[in-house]
Parts: sequence; C-alpha cells; structure tokens
Amino acid sequence: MVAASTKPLILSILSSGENYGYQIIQKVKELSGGTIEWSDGMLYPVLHRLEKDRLITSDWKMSDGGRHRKYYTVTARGLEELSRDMQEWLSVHDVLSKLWTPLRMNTMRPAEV
Amino acid sequence: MDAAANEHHAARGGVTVFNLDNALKEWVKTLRRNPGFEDGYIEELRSHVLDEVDFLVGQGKSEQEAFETAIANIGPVDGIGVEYYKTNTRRLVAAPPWQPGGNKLGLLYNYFKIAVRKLKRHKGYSLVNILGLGIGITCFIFILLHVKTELSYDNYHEDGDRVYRVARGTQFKSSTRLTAGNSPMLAKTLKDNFPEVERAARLLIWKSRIIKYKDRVYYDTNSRYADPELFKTLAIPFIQGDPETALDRPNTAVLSRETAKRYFGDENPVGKTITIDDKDFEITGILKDPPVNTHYKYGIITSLSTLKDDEHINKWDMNYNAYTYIKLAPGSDAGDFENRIRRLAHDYIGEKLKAAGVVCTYFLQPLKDIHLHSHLNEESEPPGSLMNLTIFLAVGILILLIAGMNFINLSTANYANRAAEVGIRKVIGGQRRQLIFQFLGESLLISFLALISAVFMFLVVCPYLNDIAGTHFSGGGLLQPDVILILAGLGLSTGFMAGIYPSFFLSRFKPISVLRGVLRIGSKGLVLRKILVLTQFVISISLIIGTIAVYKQIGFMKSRDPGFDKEKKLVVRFPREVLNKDNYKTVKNEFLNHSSISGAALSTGVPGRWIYKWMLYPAGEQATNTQVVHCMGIDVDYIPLYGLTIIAGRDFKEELGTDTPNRGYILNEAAVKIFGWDSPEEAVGKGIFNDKIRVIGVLKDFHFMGLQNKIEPLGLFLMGEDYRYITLNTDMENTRGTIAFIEKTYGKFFPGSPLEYFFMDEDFDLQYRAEEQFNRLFRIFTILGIFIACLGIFGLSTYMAEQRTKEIGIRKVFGARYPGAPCLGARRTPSPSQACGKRQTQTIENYRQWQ
Repeated sequence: MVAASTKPLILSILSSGENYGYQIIQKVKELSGGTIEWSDGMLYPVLHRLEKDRLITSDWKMSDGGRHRKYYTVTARGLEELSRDMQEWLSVHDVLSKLWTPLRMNTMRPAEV
Repeated sequence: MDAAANEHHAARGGVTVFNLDNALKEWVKTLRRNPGFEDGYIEELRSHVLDEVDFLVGQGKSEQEAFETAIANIGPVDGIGVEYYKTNTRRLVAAPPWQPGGNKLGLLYNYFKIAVRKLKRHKGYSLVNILGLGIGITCFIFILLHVKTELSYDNYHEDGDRVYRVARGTQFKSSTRLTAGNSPMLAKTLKDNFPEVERAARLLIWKSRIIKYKDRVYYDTNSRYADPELFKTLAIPFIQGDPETALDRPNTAVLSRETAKRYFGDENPVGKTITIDDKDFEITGILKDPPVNTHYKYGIITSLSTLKDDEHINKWDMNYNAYTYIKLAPGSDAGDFENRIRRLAHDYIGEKLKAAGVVCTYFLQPLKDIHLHSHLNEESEPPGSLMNLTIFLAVGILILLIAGMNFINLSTANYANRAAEVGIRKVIGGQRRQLIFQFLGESLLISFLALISAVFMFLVVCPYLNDIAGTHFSGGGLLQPDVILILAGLGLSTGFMAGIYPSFFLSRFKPISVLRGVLRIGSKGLVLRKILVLTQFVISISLIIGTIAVYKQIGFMKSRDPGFDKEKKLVVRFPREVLNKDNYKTVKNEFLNHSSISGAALSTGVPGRWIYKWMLYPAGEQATNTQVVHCMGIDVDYIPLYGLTIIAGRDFKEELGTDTPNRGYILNEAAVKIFGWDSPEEAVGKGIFNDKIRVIGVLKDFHFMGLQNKIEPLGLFLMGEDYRYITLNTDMENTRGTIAFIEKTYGKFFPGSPLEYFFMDEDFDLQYRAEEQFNRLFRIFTILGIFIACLGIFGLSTYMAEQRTKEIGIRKVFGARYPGAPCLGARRTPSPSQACGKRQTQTIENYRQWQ
C-alpha cells in the first residue's frame, strides 16, 4: 500500500515545484501527520527509479551552506502519469467510500480471542 | 557502530569527543562497501543526513544524538543498496550478486568470451601452450597407466593378503640358489600337517607341449598342470564348467578363452577331446583369459592327477618345480608359520639332503609382491623391474614438470599484455577477487583444453606406444576412477599454478598507473621465468644423458662378442623324444643334404633358450661340493659349429671309445671355478659323479644366457638321443629355398608336427627385448620432453621479440645490422651466449635507461 502510493505522493509534491529528498520526506511526514512513515533512506532509490522512468529529472545544486543537493523536477510525462494515478486513486476512493459508509471505524477491530 | 567506537575511544582516553565529520565518514565507508551504491547516491544520502542533523540540533538535541537519530531514520543501508541495484539492473531475477543466492556467475560468459578471444588472437602462442602441456600430459598418462599396471599385479584376488607362494632357498657349499618352484610333495604336506593352511595348490609349468585338435597343431608354451584347489586359492574365474570338479579326474583340461578359440574356433570345446603330447584330454571347462596383471599366465591347465603315476610327483624330489600356493586361515600369523616350515624338507629327506651337503629353506612370498619384488630362478614369467618403473615414473614427472613450467612461463608472459584490461575492468567496478577469479579461470580453461587434447593424443598414439612398449593399453584405461581423478587433479593444479602468480600479481595493479602506462610489466616476473627456463634446461640435459647411457648399454650388449658365433645359423626345433639313438644320424645327414647348408649340430639346448639345470658334484664330494650346473647334451659337431674355444683338454671325438655317449663332460670356466679347481688344466681328468665320467675339456666362457646375465656354470656332454634342436650353418643366400627344403625334410620325418625354426642371432637378441623396449620408450619420452622444452623456449622468444618490435625497429633505423637484433632475444634467455660483446650490452643498457 505504502509502496504503491509512493509514486503519486512524490509526483504530487514535486508538481508544486522542484524539491530535494530531505524536503520531500519532511513534507510527507507533515501532511500525513506522521501516519505515513517511511524509512528515510528508501525514498532515494524510488526517486532514482522515477528518474530512470523519465517521470522526473534531477539537477545537482549547491546550497547556501555549501552542501550538495540534488533537486528533482517533475517532467511533462510525470504530470501525465500523475493525472492518471489521480483518477485511479480517486475512483478507488469513491468505491471504497461507498462500501465503507455503513461501517464505523471501531467495528473494524478484530474479534477478541 | 560509530557510537560504540567513540564510546570505546572515550573509555580509553577518558574524554568524550564526538566529531560529526569523522562519524559521517565512517558511515559513508559502510555505504561504499555495498556494491549497490554509486558515488552520487552516497552524496545525496550524506546531504540528507546533514540536513536532518541540522534540523534535530535546531530542536535542541546534541550533535551525537542528532546523528544517531538521522542514521536510524535512514534505515538499513543494505536494503537501500539492493533497491538501487534493482533499479539499475536489467535482469529480471533481481537478487543482487553480493547477496546469498544471487547470481555470482553473471560475468562468466564475458570471461569465457574474453578467454576465447585471447586464444584466437594469439593462435600460435595458444597452440604452443596447449600442445606443449598436452604432449606432456599424454606421456604422463602412458607412464601412469604403465606404472599402475605394474603395481597392480595380483591385487585382485579374494583374500589375496592371505595367499602366499612358498619358495625355496637351497644352500650349497659355496652358493645359495633361490627357486620359485618346489617339490610337488610340499603342498600336500603343508595342508595335512598345518591347520592354518586353508588351501594349498600346485601349479606345474610344462615347457612347451604339442597340442593337437583335428588339423590344428601348435607348440604351446602356456600349458600347466594344476590341482583343482588352485581355483579356490587364486582368482581364476570360469566361463563354463564347474571349478569344483573340472580338474579332479586324470586327463582333463580347462582352456582359457583365447586358447579355446585358437583350437576350436566357434565350436563349444567342453566335452571334446584334445591331444597333448599324444595323450587325450577331455575339456571340462573354459576359463576367463588371464588378466595382464598376473604373474601366472595360463593357456591350458591340465589336471595334475594325470601325473599321479609319475615317479617324481610323489617323491620329495628337488628336480620337479611345482609352484606351491597356499592360503592361510584368517588371523594366522604368517611369520610364525614361515618359521615352522623353514626346515620342513629336512624332516622328510634329511638324510638325502645331508648326503648332498645341501640346506633347504622354505619361505613365503606374498602374492602381490611376486611380480616386482621376487627375482628367483624358475619364475613363471620374467618379473617386473622396480628400478625401471621408478625411472619411468621419474621421467614422466620430469616431462610433466617441463610442460608445466612451459605453461606457467608462457602464461605469465602473456598476462603482462593484459595490464590495460585489468585497468579498464577495475575502473568499471571490477573487484580484485573477480579479477583473480577471471585469470585463474582462464588458466584453468587452457589447462583443461590441454588435458582434453592430451586424451585425444593418447587415443591416437596409444597403439604405437603399445607396439613399442609391449603394453596393452586402450582408451578404456582412462576411465578408471583413480586415473580420472589424477588427470583432473593434474589439470587443476597446472592451471592453478600457472594462473595463481599472474592473477594475484595483475590484480594488484592500480588502474590509474596502468592506464597512464606508467607501469612496465614486461620485465616483472623475469626472475621466475629465468629460473623456470634454467630448470627446464637442466631436466632436458639430464634426460639426454640418461638416454645416451641406456642406448650405449644396449649397443654394448648387442655388439659385444657373446663368445660364440651366432651369425648365419638357422635352428630347427624337434618335439620331445622323437630323436633317438637309431635315427638321429639319419635325420642330421638328411638336413645336410642341401647346397646352402654347410654344417649341422644336434643339441638339447641352444644359447638364449632354456637349458636343463642339474646338480653335479665331483666324484667323492657329494656331501660337500654339489652345485647346480646348466647342462646341455650335444653332438660332436656342436663346439666347432658354434666357434667355441677349448682352452684345456680336448673336444668330443666320435671315434674314441671313451667318448661313448654320456661318458665325459666339457665344462666352462665358471663351472671349473664353482667346483673349486684352480685352473682349467687342473679340472681336466677330474671325475663327475664318479670316476668313470671325467672332465675331458674346458671351454672358454661364453654368454649362453645373454649379456645382461652373468655367465653361469655350464657342462656339455655327448647325448646321443632326445635332441631338441638342430643348428644349421647356412650361407644365407637362398633363404627361401633353404627353408622350403627344411620344411620338406622335417615333414618327411615328423609328419603332422608343427615346424618351428628361427635364426640364431635374431632369437638370441630377443633376450634384450625388455631392455630394447625400455630404451625405445625412454628415448621417445626424452625426445618429447626436449621437444616440449624447445617449444616453450620458442614460444617465449617469439613473444619477447614481438614485445620488442619497436626497439628492434629503432635499432635498425640507427643502423643495427641483422645479427645484432637476435642478440636481444638471446640475452633474455639465460643461455651462456656471449654473442653480444660487452660494449653492445652497455649500449643496450643505455638505451633502456633512456627509454
């Protein structure tokens, strides 16, 4: 679940402007209020994969503190991919919402043994 | 880990200092160890950690805490490396090669391709390399099989470690004689009186008999008499017939398959009757052919009970030689048993032995040791020579060494060309152990190619070598598990040895220096190479010396005068007991009736063939001076015909009354000596056995048993009957006509008997066959060894010349004349060539410094 959502998450964050790895992670944590927890390191291979799939591009820049940072930008192809993902996730969300309306969260606990 | 290291530090130094830079460096190192990471990825992660540390420090954490948290958040490094690898690889099964279960052989195809490409590019070099090692291994295979066969004699018998042959030592006054054969009574006596003797069997060799079935008649030298017990003592498997009953009746016989085929063709011989020396025998069984590695070869075995009425067989008679094989009960002490039977003969015929002044000692010979370790008189076949075997093995190993050194030399030289490849491989991420693996693998590949070529070469040359060496090897010999193991080991070790030095040496190169061309490696490994080439020279030279020695030895034996005239003599052999007092003169005269035949002599033996051995003693000295003397019955023409020299006394003369058959002896010098007479003159007139039979003459010693044996005592006497050979002096002109005449004459007297004839000189030289074979093999192997060594030097020099093309070119441009250039090559091989003058050497040194 987390893995499948990673791509649209990253693409969405990048669609609002170029960014680098550390900031992307912070943003995900911030938005999810800490419910989505990645091990930080795992983000980077994913970024590399997206770049290889030409959904994003990257560029090394020097920060003010003299630190190397790799900035990622979403490509046109990445945006296309994002809108496709969006539709898919939304339709899934619609269906699941309809299904789950009669249920309450607390009834979903597993039966006590 | 870094924290732990720091704490450890702190504990020792007493001060806690956290240095973020160092901690980060340490961490980056752990990343580098993982092959999934590339520099860019690491830099990105490093930057991430620093950002996180900054953030956490901003929240009030210490630098150390912040760093540890950041690292923890990053997660396990290996997992990230794997993810990167998966992203980058094109392979579907994406387990990275450094993880367990990963595909470590991914580069194998590439290694193979490179290896094949190298082989193809340097065709000549590869050929020299593979061929040299191949020839070496071929020689070794042959020698290995030979040695293996010799060592395996009689090791296949069930309970073979409990089977012994009882042999005998006979001690005379001045000499001891060891004999393999024994009185036929011995076996029965041992079985009856010693409970630890489980089985005892006799095997008697009958020197050639005439065997007849319908129209097929042959002299057979492989006929034996045996007890049925023999089949339970030694492993002699039956194809047809029952071992229990096959030989329990008189006049029964079993044949080896080969012999059966010879007489019966496709018929089933069992139940049929065969005639052996005019007696009929019923065939009761067929035996498997004797294997090559047994000391008792058999063709036909007849029942010993056939001889039950023979006067000698039931007596403790020392003139019959029966091989006595015994099997001891499990757990019995062979040494103790041997001690108890030592003087057994004296319990039965003590008086007689005492009268003869003889001490008879029995001893045991383990079955397995007979072929190589027993060199007694009356062996059933010429024993093997442990020394020749050792020499062969040594030659084999030396050749292998030469070939191996070649291989190592050429390989090392060739690897020097590949520094650039190493550089490139390292730059694109090749690790040292991968390089070692590659080079070792390549060298193993070549050595196994050599091994395969050796097997093929062996299959091709095997028949020729068999011919020369008298062996019976075939490709099947290679399929024995231990041979396969040795060969595989050989391939592996040669490949390994050739590969190990270059692979470790090359893989150490720093790519940067290789690629910039700073490193000149042509001269590295030169010391090793020099040592190897020098060793090769030494080995080659010792092989050559060995060959010359062996060759001279044989030349000496063949060319030295044996003391009698062996040229232009044709010998015809007669069956047993067909010539008698009445007909021998007629037969002889009939043979003389041809223009090409100028002389004839009858005898019971001829030089180089088997001759009787009798116990003789001077009159009145039976108890103190009984000696074994070779004895030969001859006629009056024998001594002049063979050109023997009488040095004292006189020759036999027909017209003198005292020379009636059997009434006088002519001894050789060795016999005179063994009887203790001081001079030939003193011997003449002495009585043998009694005073009626006197020594009438003494012969100059001659080699009647070949030059490799010392001259033994010999006594000649006039026989008058049962001659076995007629020696004909021919002019060798119309040989075909002469032989036709002999056939006709022989057929007239002995219709139906097979005719056997031979030329004296050829037959006599047959005694050197073993030596000749040894010589020829030795020579072939030496030539091959030297050939391999030359091949190596040739390869090496060509390679050197190739490497120094540029240098030679420059020299030529500067005006070097033709002879100058080869000197370069000469200097590189450690030959004592002083062709280059000192000045020129100096120039070369200058040039090299300049370069």
